[in-house]
Amino acid sequence: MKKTIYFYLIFSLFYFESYSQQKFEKEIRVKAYQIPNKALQFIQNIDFDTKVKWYKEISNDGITYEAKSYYLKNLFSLEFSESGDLIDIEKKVKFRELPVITKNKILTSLQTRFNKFKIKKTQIQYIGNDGVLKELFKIKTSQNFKFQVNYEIIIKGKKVKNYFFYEFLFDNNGIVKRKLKFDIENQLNMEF
Amino acid sequence: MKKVIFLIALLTFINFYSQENFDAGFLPKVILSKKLSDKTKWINSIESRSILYDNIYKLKHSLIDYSSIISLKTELNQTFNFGYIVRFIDNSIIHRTFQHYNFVSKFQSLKIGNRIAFEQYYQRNSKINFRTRFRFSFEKPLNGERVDVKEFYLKFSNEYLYDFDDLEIRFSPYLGFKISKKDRIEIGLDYRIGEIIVSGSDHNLWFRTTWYISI
Repeated sequence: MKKTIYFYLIFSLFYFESYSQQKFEKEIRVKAYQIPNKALQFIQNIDFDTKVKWYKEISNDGITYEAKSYYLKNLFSLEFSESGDLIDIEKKVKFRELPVITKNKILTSLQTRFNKFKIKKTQIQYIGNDGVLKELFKIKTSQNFKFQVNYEIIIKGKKVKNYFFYEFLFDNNGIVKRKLKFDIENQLNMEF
Repeated sequence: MKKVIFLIALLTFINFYSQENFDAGFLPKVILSKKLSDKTKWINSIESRSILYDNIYKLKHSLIDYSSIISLKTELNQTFNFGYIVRFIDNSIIHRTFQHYNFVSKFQSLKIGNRIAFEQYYQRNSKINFRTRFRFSFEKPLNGERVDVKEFYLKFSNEYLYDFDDLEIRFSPYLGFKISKKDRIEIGLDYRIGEIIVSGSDHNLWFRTTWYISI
C-alpha cells in the first residue's frame, strides 16, 4: 500500500497546468428553455425530420447557440448569437452533390496546395437575413435556389511529408475565404 | 432503468464473488507521453497491482510494471507502437516486448478504437511465451458532441487475449474526466475471465485508475 502511495506522489511531480495559456472553448448540450426566444421562434415553424438538439458554445469570443437536426435527410446546423440572432445555416452534404463548376474550382484549388488530399466533410453555409434563410425550409421539391452560399470543406491533406487536417471556406466561385490547419485530438487514452 | 442497471451490476458482482479463483484488487497506473516529432511519441508508464481479495480479504502488494514505448504515427488516426515492459513480481522479473497497431475513428460524438497486439514474454529458466490481443473500445462524451476540458465522458473496452493455450476476455467500463488539454483521468472496473478454454473459472475484478499525461 505504501508503494502505491509513493508511486502516485512521484508522478504527481510531473503534472503541470497550462490551462490558463490556452484558448478556452466549451460546448454543452442545453435544453430548449435555455435558448433565447428569438432563436426558438425561428426554429418553431420548421418541420424538421428529427428532434432539434441545442448546444451552447462558450469561448473567448463569446457565446453562441447551435441547433442541430435533420431536414429532408440532410443534417442542418443553425447558429445563433447570444441574443438569438441567426448567424448562419450549415447543411452537411456529400462533396459530389455540389454544382459541377463549383466542385471543379474547389478541386483545382486544393490540387495546387496539396500533393495528396482526401475530402472528409462538406457543408454548405448559407448567410442572409432571417426571412431569406427561412425559405430554405419551405421548399419540399428539389428546386435550385440561388442563395448566397459558401462551402466549408474539411480535408486530410499532405503538402510534403505529413498529413494534417485542414478546414477551408470557399465562396461560390471557389475562392478561398478562410483556411485553418488543425490536428486531431490527443488519443492517448484510446491507444493505451 | 437506473434500478435495473444497479440490480444487474449487483447480481454480477455477487456472481463474481461466488466464483472459484476469484481475485479482486487495485490497478493504479500513470501514462506519460512525450512528443518527439510530428510522427513519433515516447510513452512511459508505471502500473502497480495490489490484491484486496484472494480467497480472503487482505491487502497486499502484488507487482509493479514499468514500460517504455515508441509510437509511430503512420496516418492521422493510425499508429504502430513498439514497447518493452519489465514486471517485478514476488522475487522474479519478467521481461516483455510488444508490438501494437492502433486505429481510432470518430463517428459523430463517438470515438472508436481498435488495437491489435503481439507480445513476447521472457523469464529466466522459462521458455519464451507468446500472446496476441485484440481490443475494441469506444468513448462517448457525457455532455455535447465532444469532450471538452473539465468534462466527463464514458469509455468502454472489450479485449481478447490468446496465448496459444488459453483465452482471456476483459470487459472494462470507465468514467473519465478531462482535467486539461494535456491530461485526463479514468476510473473504472476491469473484469477478466481467464482460462476460458481450460476451465473458465479464473475471474478477476480490478478497480482501475489511470492518469494520462501528455507533455
